[in-house]
Amino acid sequence: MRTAFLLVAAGVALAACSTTDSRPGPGATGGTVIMAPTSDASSIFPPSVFDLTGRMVQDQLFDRLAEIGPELVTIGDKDFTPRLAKSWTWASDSLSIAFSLDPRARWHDGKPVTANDIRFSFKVYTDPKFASPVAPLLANLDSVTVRDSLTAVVWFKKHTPEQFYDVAYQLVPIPEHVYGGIPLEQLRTSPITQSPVGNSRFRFVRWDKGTRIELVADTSNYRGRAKLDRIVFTPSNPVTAATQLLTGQADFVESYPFDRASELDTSTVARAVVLPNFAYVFMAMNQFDPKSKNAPHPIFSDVRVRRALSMAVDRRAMLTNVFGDKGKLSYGPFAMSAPFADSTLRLPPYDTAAAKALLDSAGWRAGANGMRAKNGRPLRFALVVSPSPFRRRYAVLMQEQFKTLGVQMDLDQVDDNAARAHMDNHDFDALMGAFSNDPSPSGVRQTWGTDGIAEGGQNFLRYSNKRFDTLLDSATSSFDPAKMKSYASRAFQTVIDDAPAIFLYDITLVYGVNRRITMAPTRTDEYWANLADWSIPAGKRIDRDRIGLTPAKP
Amino acid sequence: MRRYIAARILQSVVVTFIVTTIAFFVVRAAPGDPFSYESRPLPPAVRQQLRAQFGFDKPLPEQFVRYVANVARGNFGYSFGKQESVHDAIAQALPRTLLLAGVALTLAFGLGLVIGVMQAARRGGWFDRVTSGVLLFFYSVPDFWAALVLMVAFSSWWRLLPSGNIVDPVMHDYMPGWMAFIDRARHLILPAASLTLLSMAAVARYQRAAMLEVLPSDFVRAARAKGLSERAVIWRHALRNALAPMTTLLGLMLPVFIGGAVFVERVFAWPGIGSLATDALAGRDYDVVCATVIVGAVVVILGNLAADLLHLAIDPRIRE
Amino acid sequence: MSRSARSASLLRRVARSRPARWSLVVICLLVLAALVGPRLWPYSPSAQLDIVRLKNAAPSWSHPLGTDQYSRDLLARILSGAQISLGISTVAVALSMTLGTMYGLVAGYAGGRVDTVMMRALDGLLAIPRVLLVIALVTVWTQVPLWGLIVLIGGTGWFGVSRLVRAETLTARRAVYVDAARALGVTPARILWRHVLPNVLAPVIVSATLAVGNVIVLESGLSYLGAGTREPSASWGAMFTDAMSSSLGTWGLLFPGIAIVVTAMAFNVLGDALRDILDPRTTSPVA
Repeated sequence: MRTAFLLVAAGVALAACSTTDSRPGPGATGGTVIMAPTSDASSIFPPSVFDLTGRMVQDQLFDRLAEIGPELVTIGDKDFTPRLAKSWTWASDSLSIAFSLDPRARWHDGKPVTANDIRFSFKVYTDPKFASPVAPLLANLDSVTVRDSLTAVVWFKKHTPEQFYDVAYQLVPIPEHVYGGIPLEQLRTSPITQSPVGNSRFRFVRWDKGTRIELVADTSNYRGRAKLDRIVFTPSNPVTAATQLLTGQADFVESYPFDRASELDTSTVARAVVLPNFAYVFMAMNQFDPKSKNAPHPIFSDVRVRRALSMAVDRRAMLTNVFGDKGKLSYGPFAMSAPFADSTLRLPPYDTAAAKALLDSAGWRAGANGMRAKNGRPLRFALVVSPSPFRRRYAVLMQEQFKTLGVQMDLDQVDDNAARAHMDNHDFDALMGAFSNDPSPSGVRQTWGTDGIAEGGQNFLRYSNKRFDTLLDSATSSFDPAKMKSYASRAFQTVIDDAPAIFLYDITLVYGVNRRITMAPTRTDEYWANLADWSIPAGKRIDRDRIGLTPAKP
Repeated sequence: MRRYIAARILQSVVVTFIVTTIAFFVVRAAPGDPFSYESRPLPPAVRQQLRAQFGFDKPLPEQFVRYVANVARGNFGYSFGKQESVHDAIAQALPRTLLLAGVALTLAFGLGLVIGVMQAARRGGWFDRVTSGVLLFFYSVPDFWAALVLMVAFSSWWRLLPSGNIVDPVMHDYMPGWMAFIDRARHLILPAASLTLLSMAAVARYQRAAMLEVLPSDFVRAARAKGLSERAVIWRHALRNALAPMTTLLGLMLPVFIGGAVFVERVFAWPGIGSLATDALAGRDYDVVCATVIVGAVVVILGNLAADLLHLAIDPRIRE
Repeated sequence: MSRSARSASLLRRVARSRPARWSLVVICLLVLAALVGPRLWPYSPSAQLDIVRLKNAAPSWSHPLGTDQYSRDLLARILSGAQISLGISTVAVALSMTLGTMYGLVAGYAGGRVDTVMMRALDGLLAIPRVLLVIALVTVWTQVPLWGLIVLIGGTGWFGVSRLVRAETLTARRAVYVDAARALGVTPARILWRHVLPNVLAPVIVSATLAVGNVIVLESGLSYLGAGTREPSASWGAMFTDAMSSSLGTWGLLFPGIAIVVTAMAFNVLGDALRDILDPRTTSPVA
C-alpha cells in the first residue's frame, strides 16, 4: 500500500509540476514540515494573538517593521534588521520615528504594503472597541501619521530605551484594505480573521480548528521564497506528540520530556536539539503580606529566613535529577548566556546545619512534630507553580528538602493564566517565576530594580533594594566595559546576598526534530523565528515532501 | 402504541430539561460568577452580546429561564479558549465523537453478544473461564491505560498504525477517494479498539448473565425436546428472548461509552467532545464544560430513545 | 428459616465459592497492607533518598520495587497509595450507597407524584456521563482537596443504586405485612428499617463491591485528566500519571498500574461471586 501511495503522490506531483511556478533549482526547495505544538492556536490574527502557538503561526504569515536580532537587544535600534521598513529616521527629539517601507513588500493578495496599513494597524491595536491584549504594551505610542504612501511616522509620548522595540516588535501590521471595512466591535469575532492575509514568506491555506493549520510558501515574496513548501501545525498532548515524533508522523516537538531524551539519541528518525535560552527560573518569596498589600510578610520579610531557605536546597543535585547532565545552574538574577553573567558570584551555600541555625536565631523553632513555628504561627506557606513539568519537579524536590528543615511548603499547581493573575495581583507567598533578560544589564532594572515596580515593569515581586539600584545605575552609565561588568557583578551580589528568591536554573529545553530536516540558526526566545529557512535535502525527502505547491483537491 | 411513542418522546424532552437545569446550577456554583463573564478578558462586543442574551445582571430565576431558552436555540455561550462560540466548537467536535463511539458501540455489542452467548452455551467450560478472565482484566484496567498501551504497541513498537489525529494531516487531501477512506479507517482503528475493549467486557458479562437466566426456562427446554439442534436452540430461540434486556444495557452503557471516549480522545488527540471537555477543564472554560455535560447527556437520551423505538419495532411482545 | 440461619448459610456459600475466597484473601491483604504497611516499612513515601544517584532505580534488596524519579522508595509509596486509593474508594462508595439507598427508599415508599418527580430527576442524572459531570464539578471547584474528591466521586455514583433500592422498596411496600404494620401505626421509618432494608441490603452490597473496583479505576483516570490528588500524598492513579510524563518505561509506571488492576479485579471478582450467591435474580452486572 505504501508504494501505491508513493506512486499516487508522485503522479499528482508530476501532474502539478507542469503548471506551478518553477523552483529556483532542482530540488533546492521543497518539503513539508509538521510541527506538533501542545495546543491549538486561539487566534492567528495578530491583534488578537496572546498564546504561544498563535504567535508561532502569526510570525510565519506576518512580517514586522523590523525584526529583533539574535542577541535580543531590546534597547535602541542597533540590533534590529529591516523587514517591512527598509530604513528609519529618528527625529532629533526622539519623540518620533519615520519608517520608510520597502516598496517590494506585498500582501498575499498582491496589494502593496502602505503607510495607511501601519496607521490602521495602530488604530486596531489600541482602540478599546477591539480590546487587543497587546494594547498595554503599546502604551507609550501616541499616534501614527502618514507622510506619503511609503512613509509612516510613529509618535511617542516619552523617550524610553525600548520605544523602538515597542513599535517594531509589538505592532504587527495588518492590511487595511482587507479589514478596514469591518466595524471594530465586530472585527474580533468576524470569520474573516480566521483566514488572515499576511505578507511574509508563508501564506495561509486553511485552519481546521483543533486538528491542523496549514501554511504554504509564498513564492513571490519580497524576502525570497521559503525553502520549505509547506508547514502544518497539528496540536496534540506531549505524550502523543513524542510518540508521533519517534514514528515520523510529526517533525518537530517542543519540550520533549527530558527523561526520555536518550530515546532521541538512539532513534534513527528524530534527534534532540538542545537550545540555549535567555531565561532563568527562581523561587520568588513575597516580602509583602499577600492579604494586605503593604504590610510585611510574616515569614519572608526576614532576610534570615530567606537565606536559610536558600541554603536548605541542594541546587546542583536538583539540577542533575531534573536535567541529567544537560542542565544549566543559575548563578544569580541572569541567564548564563547573558554577556554580563558572572559565575564567580557567591550564592548561599548548601548547608542545612547553618540553615537550621539561622531559622533558630530568627525565632522559628522546631516543635514536637519537627515543624517550626514562631509565636504560635507555623512556618508554612504556599508555592504557586505553573504547569511547566520542570518547575513542578523542582517544587516537589524543594518541598521535601524544606520538610527536613521543619518548613512546610504546600504546592498550589495552577494553569498559566492563574499564575499570571497571582503575579499581577501580588497575592502569593512564594511563586516559581522566570525572567528573560536581554544582554544589557539595564534590562535587569525592569525585573529586579525599583523602577520595575511601576505599571509596565516586570518586577512582580515588588522587590526594592536601593544599593542594588545605585550599583546598577553606575554600571549602565559607565562607558568602560570592564567597569560596567564590575559594577554589574557587585550589583548582582547585593541581590544574591539579600536572597529575594532562590535562583535555580536556566531554562533549557530539548526539542525533538526529525533527522531529515536541516534547521536554520534559531533564536533563543522563539525557535520558530527562521522556519522559512529550514530545508530538507532532496535525497532525504519522503512522500509528503514531494507534493509540491499544488493545492489539495477541493 | 402511538401514545407510548409520544410519551417516550415527551419523557426525553423532560429529562433533557432536567439535565440542563443540573448543568446550569452546577456551573453556577463556581466562585466568581462564571456567567457574568467579568473574570475573563473577552472582547467587549462579545461581552455585551452575552450580557444581552444571558442577562447576568438579572435575578437568578430569569437568568435560568434565559439560559434554557438559549440552549434550546443552540446558543451555549462563548469559548474563551477557542475564541469562538461554543455552538461552533461542539458542532465540529460532536460528529467525531459520534463516529468513534458509534463504531465502538457496534463492535462492543456485536462481539460482546457473541462472546456472552458462547460462554453461556458451555457454562464452566474452558472458553467460558478463559474469556471471563481476560474480560475481567479488561474491565479492571483504567481506560486511558489500555489506550496508551495500544498506541505505544501499534504505532511505536510495531509501526502499523498512526498515533493520534483523525486523518493524515498532510497527505489525506491528496489521496483518491478509496485511499482517503482507508486513511480515515486507519486512524480510527486504535481509538475505536481501545473504547471497544473496555466496554466489550461489560456487554459480554451482561449477555452471559441474561442467557444463563433464559436457558433453563421452559420454552427452551421445549425447543430442545422438539429435537432442534443445540445451535438453533441457543442462537435462535434463547438469544431472541435474552435480547430483551439489551435495550436496558444500551441505556446503561451509553454514558459509559461517552465517558470512556473522554479518555481515549485525550490519549489519541482525537478532537471530539471529550477533548473539548478536558481542554475546557484546563482552561477553566465554564461555558464549554457546561455545554459538554448537556450535549453528552442528550446523546445518551437520544440513544436510549432510539434503542427503545427500535426494540418496539423488533419485539412485538412488549407492545402491550 | 430464621434470619441468623439464613445468614449463616449464605456465609457458608461465600466461603465455598472459590473466586470469592481468593478475592477476599487479596482484598484482606490489600487492606492489611494499607493499614499496617506504611508503619512497618522503614522508608517514608515522601522522603527523597538520593535525588542524584537513586533516581528511577531498578528493584533491589533495599528497594524491592525500586524508586521513582524523585528517588522515593516505591514500595513505601505503593503502601501509602493503598491507604489513599482504598480510602478514597471505600469512603466514596459508602457515601454513594448511603445517598442512593436513602433516595431510593424515600422515592419507593412515598410513591405517587413524589416518586415520579424523583425518578425523573434521577433519569437526568443518569443520562450525564459520569466523567463529564466530574469534570464540570472539578472545573468549577478550583482547588479540590482530598475530601472534596471523595465527595465528588461519591456524589456522582449513587444514581444506579437508588433505582435498585426504589424497585425493592416498591415491591416490599406492596407486601401485606407492610400494610398491616401501617395499620398498627408503626412509623414509616421503622417499617423501612425492619421490612424493606434487609431485602435491599443484598443488591446494595453487591453494588458496593463492584463500585469500589469502578472507583479505583475512575480515580486513576481523573488523575490522568488532571483532576486527582495532589503532591506529595499520592494515590496510585496520581503516581501512574506522574510517572507517565517522566518516561514510558520505568518502574514508577508498572507497580501502581499493577496495584490498580489487581485491586479492581479483586473487587470485581468478589462482586460477581456475591451477586451469584446473594442475588441471583438480577441480571444486571453493571451496578
